[in-house]
Order: sequence, then C-alpha cells, then structure tokens
Amino acid sequence: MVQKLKKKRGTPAQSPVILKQDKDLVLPKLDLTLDTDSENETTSTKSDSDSSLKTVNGFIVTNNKKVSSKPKKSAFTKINNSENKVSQSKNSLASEFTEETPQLADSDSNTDISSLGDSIQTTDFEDQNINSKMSQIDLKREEPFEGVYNLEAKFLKKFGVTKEDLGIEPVLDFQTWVDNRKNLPQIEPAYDSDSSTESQENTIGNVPIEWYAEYDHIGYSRDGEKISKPKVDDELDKFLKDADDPAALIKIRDELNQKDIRLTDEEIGIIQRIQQGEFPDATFDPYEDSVEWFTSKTMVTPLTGAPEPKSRFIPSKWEHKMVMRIVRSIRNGKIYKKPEPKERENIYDIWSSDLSDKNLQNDLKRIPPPKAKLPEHNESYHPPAEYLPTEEEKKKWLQMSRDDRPTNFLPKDFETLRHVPAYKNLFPETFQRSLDLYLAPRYQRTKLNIDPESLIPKLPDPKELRPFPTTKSVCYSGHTDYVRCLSVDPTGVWLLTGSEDNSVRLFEISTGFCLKVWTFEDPVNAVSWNPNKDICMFAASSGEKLVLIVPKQVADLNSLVLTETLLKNGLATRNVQTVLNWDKPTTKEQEEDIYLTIDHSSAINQLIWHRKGDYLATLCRNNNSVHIHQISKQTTQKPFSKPNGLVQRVMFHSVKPWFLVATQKYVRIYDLMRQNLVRTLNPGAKWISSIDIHPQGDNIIVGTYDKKVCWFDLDLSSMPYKTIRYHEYAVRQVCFSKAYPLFASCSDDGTIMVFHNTVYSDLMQNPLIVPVKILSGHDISDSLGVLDVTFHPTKPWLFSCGADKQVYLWT
Amino acid sequence: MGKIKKAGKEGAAAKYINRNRAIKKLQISLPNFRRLCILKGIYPVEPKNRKKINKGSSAPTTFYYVKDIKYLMHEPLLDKLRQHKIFKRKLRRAVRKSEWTKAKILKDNKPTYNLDHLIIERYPTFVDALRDLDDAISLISLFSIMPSSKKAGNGVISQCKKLYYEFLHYIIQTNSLSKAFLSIKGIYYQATIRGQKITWIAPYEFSQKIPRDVDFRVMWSFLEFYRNLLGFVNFKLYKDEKLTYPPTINVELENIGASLGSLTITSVGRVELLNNLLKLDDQQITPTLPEKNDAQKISKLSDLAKKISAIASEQDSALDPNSETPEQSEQVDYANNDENDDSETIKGNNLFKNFTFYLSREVPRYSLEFVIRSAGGKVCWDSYFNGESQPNVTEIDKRINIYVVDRPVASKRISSTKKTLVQPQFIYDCINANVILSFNDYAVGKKLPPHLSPFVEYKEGDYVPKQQLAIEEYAKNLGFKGEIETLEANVENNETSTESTEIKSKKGSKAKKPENDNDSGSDYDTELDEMSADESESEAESDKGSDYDSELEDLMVNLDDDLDNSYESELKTEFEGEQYSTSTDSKKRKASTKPSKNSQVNKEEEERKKLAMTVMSKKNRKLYARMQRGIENRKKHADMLNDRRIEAEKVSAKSLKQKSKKK
Repeated sequence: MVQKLKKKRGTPAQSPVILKQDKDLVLPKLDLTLDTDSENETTSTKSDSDSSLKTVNGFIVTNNKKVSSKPKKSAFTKINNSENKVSQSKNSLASEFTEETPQLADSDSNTDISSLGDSIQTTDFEDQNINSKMSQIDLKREEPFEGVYNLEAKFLKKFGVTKEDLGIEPVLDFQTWVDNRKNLPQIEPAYDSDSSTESQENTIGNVPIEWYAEYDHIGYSRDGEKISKPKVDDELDKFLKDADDPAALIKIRDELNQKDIRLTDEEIGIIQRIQQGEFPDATFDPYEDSVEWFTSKTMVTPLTGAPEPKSRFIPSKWEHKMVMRIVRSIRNGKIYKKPEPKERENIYDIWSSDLSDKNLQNDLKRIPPPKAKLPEHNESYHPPAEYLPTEEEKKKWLQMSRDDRPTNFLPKDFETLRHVPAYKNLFPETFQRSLDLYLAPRYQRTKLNIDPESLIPKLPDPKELRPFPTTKSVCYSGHTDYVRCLSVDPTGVWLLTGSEDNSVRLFEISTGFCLKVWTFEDPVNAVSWNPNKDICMFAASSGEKLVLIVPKQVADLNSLVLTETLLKNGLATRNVQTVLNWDKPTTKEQEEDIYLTIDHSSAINQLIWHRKGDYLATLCRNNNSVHIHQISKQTTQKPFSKPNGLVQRVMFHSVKPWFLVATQKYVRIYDLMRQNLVRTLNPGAKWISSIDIHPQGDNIIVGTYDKKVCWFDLDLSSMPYKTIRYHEYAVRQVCFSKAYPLFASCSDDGTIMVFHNTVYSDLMQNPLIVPVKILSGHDISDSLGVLDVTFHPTKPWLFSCGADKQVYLWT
Repeated sequence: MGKIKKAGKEGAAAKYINRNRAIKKLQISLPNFRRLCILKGIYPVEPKNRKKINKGSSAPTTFYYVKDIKYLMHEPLLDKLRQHKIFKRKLRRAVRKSEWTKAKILKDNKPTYNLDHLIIERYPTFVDALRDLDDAISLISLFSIMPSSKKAGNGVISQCKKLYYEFLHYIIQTNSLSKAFLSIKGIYYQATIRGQKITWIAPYEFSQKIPRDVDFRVMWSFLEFYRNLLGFVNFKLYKDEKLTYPPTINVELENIGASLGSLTITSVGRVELLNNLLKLDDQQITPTLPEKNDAQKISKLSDLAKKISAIASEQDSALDPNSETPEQSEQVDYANNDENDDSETIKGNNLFKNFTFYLSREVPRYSLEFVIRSAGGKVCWDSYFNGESQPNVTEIDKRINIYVVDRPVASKRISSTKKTLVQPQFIYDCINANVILSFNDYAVGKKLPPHLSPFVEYKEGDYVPKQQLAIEEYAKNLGFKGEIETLEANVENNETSTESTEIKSKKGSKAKKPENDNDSGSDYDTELDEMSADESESEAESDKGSDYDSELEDLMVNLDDDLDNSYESELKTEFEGEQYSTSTDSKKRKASTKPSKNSQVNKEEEERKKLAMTVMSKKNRKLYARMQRGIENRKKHADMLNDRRIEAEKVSAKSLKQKSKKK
C-alpha cells in the first residue's frame, strides 16, 4: 500500500528531496505539498475502508487460482505491519519529520494506515478462513525489509545472526503446519492433465525420425529397450481406415511414436478458439472488472464507529515550526523572489561617441577581409549565347576535380525567370566563404597596375648616336668552309680572313677583290695583322703551326725594309734555348712570303699582338698553354707554367703592361712587369667565349657562351657593371671599335648587336651603353652563326665572318 | 660578453605563435577558440619565412600574431566562455542527478554576454562597418529563408528576416539601390550607402537544401556576430535618416503574405515634433496658473501649436497623391513617406517614379518589390498597395501602369486592360542601365534579350557583349533619363516610343549623365562612338558653332596621352553643352590618318623597342613577358567569345530561315 501510495503521488513525493537541499527558495512549496497530502489522506481513510474489503476478497480469489502477485502480497503485509506499529509510528512521527524526506513520506502513509488497519480488523472477524491464511502469510513475510529474503543463511551467519533472529523464518510447530497443509489444494497425479508430465515413450529426442527409417525400431524407451516399429499401413489402408473411422478428422499423427492421437474435446475447443482469434482459455475473461484497491467511492456507513482522533483537530506543531522557519527566512531576506532580469537596451547608437578616447587595437594593422568576387556575365540566369559552355567544355568541367575548376558553377540559360530553381550550392559556398574569412591567412599583395610599356627603358634616339654600321655593303667571297677569323690591317685597306678550308685570303676592303690566297695543311684558326703601322706583317695559325707572313704585294717599300731588318736582327740575336722552335721556312714557303714558322705542340686557337707589334701571344686550348713570342728577339716565353683553369682567351691591355687571361669562369689580369695578379673579374657566367678591352683601357667586355655580354668597369667592382642578354644563342665574339665609341657582339643566332658606348673621363659618371643596331644577314649553318667580328680601325665599319662561308662589311 | 641568445625568443619567431600553442595559452577548447577568432575577427597570418618561426620546419601550420593572442587573453568574452563551460558542467550534473530545482536555478542564472564592445573594436567608425557589411547581409539573407529548425531556435531565423527587411527598407527609403543582377546563384544587389558600395547576394526564396558537411558551429558564430552588427548598423542608418527604429510590423499585411511590405517605416521628426508641441501645451497649462499675462501667452502658444499641427496635417493630406481613399489620409506615416520621396529626388535613384507596377503571382515579388520601390516606383498586387493593405486593389486597378508577368501568355483579365506587360527582367535591366528601356524587347511571350552582369568593368581589349552596346546606345539616344509623362500615350504607339522620348530629351534640360556611364571607362565610350559614328557625325555638322571648342579640346586630347585626361576633357565638352561624341569622333579620325603616314616610323619604333628591351633588367623583362602573356590571354578569350557570338548568330539566323521556309 505504501508503494502504491508513493506511485500515486508521483512527483510531489519526489519534490521534497530537492526541496530539502534548496530550502531557502522552495520551502513554501513544500508546505503546500504537505497540505495536499494530508487532505488526500483524510479522504482516503474514509473511502478506502470499502475498497480494502474488496482487496481482501480479491486476494483470496487469486490465491486459489495460483496467480498471486507480489505487490499485492506486500501491500497486505504492510497493512498488517502497520496494524502492529500504529502506536509506534505515531510516536516516531515527530522524530521522523525532521529526518530525511523519504521517511517523511513513509511516516505520512503510516498515519493514515492506522485507520486502514482498523478497517481491516473488522473484516477479520467476518472471515476466519481468511484470517488464518493471512496469519500464515504474515508469519512468512514479516520482514524488516524485502532484501533480506534473498540473503543466504550462510551469509547471515557471517554477521552472527540467523534468519530466525531476523524474523524471517519463524519456527512453526507441526500441528499448524499440518493444518495449513490441509487447506492447500490437493495435487492430482494425473498424467494427461499437463503436457509436461505426459510420458514420452520414445527418448530419441529432437532428431529427424528418418534416421530410424532403416531400422526396425523407432527409438528407445526410458528403460533403454528398443521400441519396435509399429506396422505401417499403406495409403489405401489408411484411406479405408479413415473412411471407416468417424473420428479420423480429429486425429493427429505423432511422428515420434508413430501413433495416431485423438484430440480431446478440450483441445479441439482450444484450437477452434485460436482459429477464431479468441483467447485459447475458455474461462479467461478479458473484460474482468478491475480490482479497485483504492477507490474514490466513499462508503455511506463507516467501517468503524471509533471517534476521530484528537490529533486530527489540533494544528500540527511541526508543520507550524516548519512554516515559521520559512516565514523567518523570508523576513530576514534569505528567501526572496529574484527580480526579473531587466531587459537591457541591446541596440543603441554604438558609433555616436567620439573615437579618440576609445582604446582601440591600433598596434596591429588589421587587413580587412577581401570582398567576394563579383559575378560576371556567365553567371546570369540568361547569359548571352557566347558565354554558354559547349558540350565538350561541360564534360571537361564535370570531370575536373572541384578545386581545379575555373568557376564553381556551369553557366546555364534558363530563358525566363520562372524557370530558375534554387541554387543548391549556395549554402556550401557561403560556408566556404566564412571558412575563408576566419581560416585563411591574409596578406596584402601589392598589385602592379602599370602600363607594361613603362617597363621598357627610355633610350636616347639611335639617330643621335650616329655613325654606326647599319647596312651590308660589301661581300667578300671565296671561302669554301667556315670562315673562322678575320683581321683588318692597321691602315684599313686590307682584310685577312682565315677559314676551315685551310686557306687565308687577303681582300681589298673597298672592292672585295681577293688579292692573294695562302693555303696550308690544317684549318686556319686565327689570323692577325701586326698592329704596328710601320711593319707590314701578319701572323696566322694553321693547326699547330704559327706562321709569320710579310705580304709583299701590299706592303710599301719602307715598311717592307723595316720588317725584313726586324726579322733578320731577330734571327741574329736569337736565343737558341727557347721554349719553342723558331723554324726558318722552306723555300716553297718563302715563295709564299712566309718568313718564320713556330711549331706549337698543340693546335693554336688564338693569336694576339701587343699594341706595339713586337710581342705576340698564342693560346693553345688543347694543352692549356699560353706563349708569348717576341719577334725582335725571336724568343718565346711561357708566362704560366700551369694556368689556373682552362684558358679561353688572352689579351694584352690596351694601355698598361697588363695581360688578361680569360679562363672558363673568371678573367684574371696580370701585371707582366711586376709578375703578379692585379685583379680577378667575375662575370658570373658559366663559360667565357671572348673578351675585349676598351682602347682607353678602363672597360672590358666579356662575351659568354651562355648568351651574355658583360661590361666591366675596372674602376668599379669585380662584378659586371652591366649584363646584356639579348642573343638567343652563344656569343662568339665581342669587339670594341678603336676609332668610335662602339662595340659589337656576334652570336650563333646569326645576328650582330652594335652598341654605342660613351665612356666619360669623369669618374663619377657611369658609362652610357645604348644598343643601336641589330645586324642580321648571316645564315646559320650547323647551328653556328657569326664566328668573328671586328671593327675597321678608322671608320665606323664592321666586318663579320660566319659559318655560312661569307664575310661581310657593314657600313 | 652578452647573454647567449636562445632560438625562438627574438625577431620573427617571437612575433608569431601557432594555433596549438595559442589554444594552450588561452586554456580553451578548439571550438571555443574558433568562435572567439570569428567574433574578434582574428585571422591567421602567413609569416615571411616559415622555417625561421617553426623551428626549421616548413610543415603547414597555422600561425597567429602573438599580439593578437595577447589581446584575446584580455578579452571579456573569454571569461564568459569559461563561465559558460562551468555552467554547462553544473547543469549537466544537476540534470543527471535529477535535481530539477537546482537545474532551473542554474538555467535562470545562465551567464550571458554581448558583443557590443567587439563591434566598436572591430569597426571603430561607421564607415568601417559598412565596408564589411557584404558578407553579413549575404549570410543573414540566406538564413532568413532557412526553415526554422530546433537548432535555429530562439527566433534566430525570424530575427534574421527582420534585420534583413529592415535593411532593405532603409534602401527603399533612401533609393540607394544601384545595381541588381539575376544570377543562377541568387539575386545580387548593390547599394551605395555613405559612399560605400555594399554588394550582397540574396537567394531565390525556395527551400534551401542544407548539406550535411557544413559545420554549423562556424556558421552560427558568424551569424551571431553579423546579427549584432546589422542590428547596430540598421539602428544607426535609421537614426541618421530620422526614422524610428525598430519599424513596426503591420500584422494585417504579414497575414496577407506581404513579407517585405509588412514593415512600416515612420519618420521620427514630424510626428514627434507635433507630439512634443502638444506635450508642451499640457505641461504649461497644468501648473497652477501663475499670472494672467502668462496664462494668456500660454494659451496663445497652445493655439499656435494646434494651428501648426492642423496645417501640417492639411499639408500631409494635400501632399498625399493617394488621398482619394479615406484610409490613406488617416495614416500619417505614409504621407510622410511620400514627402520624403519628394525631397529625395536628388539623392537617389528615382527611375520608376511615375510607375505603378502590378506584380503577377508567378514573379518573385520579394525581390521585385524591393527593386521597384527602391527606384521610386509603386508596387501592388491583390489587396496590397505599396506597403499597405487595400482590399479593393485588383488587377484592373486604374493606378496600375505596368504589369510584370512571367508566363507565356498573360491572363485574359490582365491583357484586357491593354496596358504595358513586361517580363521581370525588364526591371533589373532598367535599374542597371539607369534608363527606361524599350518595353517591346521585354514584352510577354517574347524571347528576352540576354541579361548582363552590371558588375563587369570593361578594360581595353575586353570583350563587350552586343547587348551591352545596344543598351548603351539606347541610353545615349535617349540622351537622358527619359521622363515619360503619360504612359498611356506611350503604350498606344509602342513602336515610336523611343522617338518620342528622344524628342522629350531635347526639350528637357540637359540632365546629368547616367551614373552607369561614369562607371564604365572611357575606352568603352569610344567604342560606342564607333558604333554610332554616323549619327554623331551628322550631329557634329549640325552644330558648327561649337567647332572651335571641339578643336581646342582635340588639341588638349593630343597633348595628353593619358586616357583619363581625355575622359576629363570629354566631360568638359559635355559640360559646355556640346554633344560629347563629336570631340572623340574627330579624335578618332585623326588617329586613323596617322598610321598610314607613319608606317615607316612605326617600324622604327618597333625596332627601337626591341633594342630597348635588350637593356631591360632580368626582373623587368620577366615581368613584361608575364604582362604580355596576360594581355594575350585576355585577347584570346575575347576573340573566342566573339567567334562564338558570330557562330551563335549564324545558327539562329539559319533556324529563322528554316522557320520562314516552313511557313
């Protein structure tokens, strides 16, 4: 009953648990609940007397049916319990009130149970039988709490108590036990009453009966004897039998025992009821009247005539105490109603006040978020036809991964607005945008918004920098292979060209007439006029041989005499022990105006005269050796026993007694007098092809195989003052003009660049380098273009020779 | 000897902090850190050299400025977040223990916070806030059409809707909408407020599909901030415009379904002034009458005030053009509205000033109403007239000038009115071109001309769609914003509408040039001139008086190579009351003669350029090459588009021929 009561009350029963903890606030509520409870109880005391009778009856009925339920039992016992404890509980009420609230609820119920107990007593007198049974159950279940029932006796022993001590297992005398037993319904030992007790003859269990098909028995009995297979009727017999037997329809076959079983009427009834969808049990009444344990109906006549106890009419002292406590705490301000949170005016003019006094984060410059890209024509719902993608483009777009796509949508023409659907990617795109806003690092990029033409430097007009060679004017032909080298005589009348066809040709510059041809055994790699105007002589290299030739046809008498005396004197004063052998020419060679031959052990790649015409430097790249020959003394020196790196070019300084050696990556300048290194220039190139020095001697240009032309100012750093990259292929030769502020570079791309260069005597002013002309006319053969280029000594003319076997004069 | 320097304590390494360290330092969870970053507007930074900062590793790490994180440490919001964490823990505990009263008390004392200080911190000036409004309005407009789910509870969606509509109403009030574009993603709008161009996208109002892979926490954080921001911005905008904020919601209209129109805007000034005056009366009368003279004065004053109010109300009713109906005269608010319109003619765009549009059922009313009303037009549909409910309004209302219909054939009832019927694109194209375009092109059932983005700025060498040229030409022929006085006449001779407007344009004073022209560059104008060369030539002949001036201008033009300068001069010519095309045209002619003479010179120039390029630095040369590539690509793209256009035209011509043959 207590349990039921608890359940019925539901939440109010639980609320005291919380109330206790937050006394300050919600105690008034507690007061209320208490009130309501007591009211309910008073009503129930009056009303329940009737119902309690019913419950008792109900219990007996169910007990006979063996469907006793636990809660009912417990309820009963509780009632009896309370019967005994009424006085006790009344006494303990006061103390329990102050204790924990769950007990508080219990005590509540106890109070009203007292009256219930009275009512039950009355019923006891009416039915003795019931009483005896109840007492029996009471004895059994007079428990302090239910859990003890589950405890093992052993376990209890541990604590030194027996179940009897606890009052769980009361000691019964034999007579009462027998009496009780008599009252119990007798069990009838009938086999067919229950299916579980039905004898199973065959003990094979749940195995397919086919397994015994081959044997003459169908299984084993309980005693282990074989059960022989009964005689099996064939179908005809079966049929005839069935036809004869009126009960054939209510027989079923028991396969296990190979028997026919006749169904009883009860069983048939069950089957029929199941078929009809009814309850199998005929006696089961689904619409049985529910047992009203606690009814609201009040009885007209009370069960007891006892007067109302006094306590009913006296206000509870404890409740009063409780209420007063709350009243006190309200007066003291411990309990108060929280004021409603004031609605803050959450929107106002936030930008109204002056900014200067606000503490703003000015330390870090925040970059405002970049604006989203504005839509273009292709995003229109009805774009011009040209913005629609073709089928191919659509396919390509679909195949691309999402990140690679140039646009995140496919342009589509909907024609009218009513056809436009919701854009399904709008949410993801907005999400992406917000991700970008807080996840993407921001940085400011300075976007160049300049006219590309403004990048091109403004150069002085080339017209103002005239004269410089502009057009092809004379073509010197005759060579049958690459023309490797050329040299102009210091007077500017004659031109020498050396070629891979083993010949050196002498041309008259103005007419292009070939005056003489010298033919050698090996290709001519270098040819060079003596720069001294008084001496008429040139040097040429053919393979390993260096020859000195005095062309008698072009030499005037004075210079011829001078040259011959120079050579003769040299022969006289010649030191025999030189590095290389100075050979006298053979008679045949003498006919060819060859005066001297010097045999180098390796092929000569370059010849260069000192400006005074006495010294001649040769370079053999194969064995990496540099020789300096002195014509007047007919001696040879080897300035470097082991040059530092592969020597590409050598050069005498135009003013100072310096000697320039260009190795693969560096240009080194040596002082020949002091015998030391003056400077090292680093053009930053991978492979130097050529160098030349300005006539004033302060500037050097270096051409490289990696397409660069570097201008060095010797007064400045060892790095190039200017690097010009224009040629598409390797630069073969660079040269300065001696008479004009010009220099030229030629390259394998078949072009010659002509630059104007003004070198100022003022040291503070940087030299002015202006490209003035690109000369193109040479053809490219075997990926070789212009091989050599040189300026006329007095005029702004330029000579060039190339792999196309041509030699041109540009004026 | 100095102290040994430890790595990572000085220089760049001390300037940055990676995310994990930042979180550790702030002692918050990653989601909370994200939220804080979103609300504070803190973004990661890309250090110049990752290795120097990340202990030699170049692994992809997110870096923040140490200073930013330090600011976060002092952030009051951080404390609030922590409080919230504790609150959540306590609540969870109480609920788990079924301590409902405790839970309730906890819930009542839930820690709250506001973002006001963040807004003022991030946007110290109002203009700053306006500049960053694009994303805010886009997101709010998106959320305003979201289905309100359990997650989006607490009226967030409805608040978004309210804020968005408030903003739109401000634009309607000030007529500051400059561009509108119907894209496949949604409708783009651009409004110019305080010189700031605010562009946002509003989705088509269909139910949006909400994808699963979206982290809603991020979106909510952004939305939370934006909601606050837009609230303050709206307040400020309304206040500066002397309108009451928040605008009241007309429940009747809302029930009809006029979502945008259900807000009622009231201007503060007038109503309050009257109220104040009346209050003054009461205050001065109620004190126990001090002296007779004073009392007389006061009574006079009160009389005056009453008179003023009476006059004001009279004016209101007089100003109200719709005062025929008695309902309107009662509503002072609308009268005020109209007055505002009159005073703001100079201020904003009043393209549709004299038009009343009837919006058919199938058109997107939510957008069209906004666009039309912000261009000064009036909008109506069944029992709704321009922001007020008028139950007697139907399709055949006499005030309606134009019907906006988007179906192949208009309903009989509408077509029987014999008034202009246009498709919705007309409205948007007109707004973008800033002229009333020909109704014929947009007639119902007709194939629409392509709809172009007004946001594209044409540079030299860009492809310009044909439609753009056509619109520009049309606008130029109109001369100025054609003021069409009587629409009925226009409708009668639809074919000659352009001519009539032209005549009017000559009659009228030279109005200001449409804004759109200002936006597109002068190169573009010159191209236009080519198109209309014939006309302008004839015009040039007609007014010889100004030849001298034009010559002068030409000289100026020749002197200044800069395009901008030439544009300025064009403006000048315009100012002088001359057809601006003449000067440019003559310039063109001169330019065309030049190359024939100087082909030789050009060649030389070419060579000189080539030579000059040899002495360019490597960096410049590469840059130049890159730029050239860009120019080439642009040109290629333009050529491709042009080719496609020609092809498409051919195809359409063919199909037309075939059709005619079949007939």
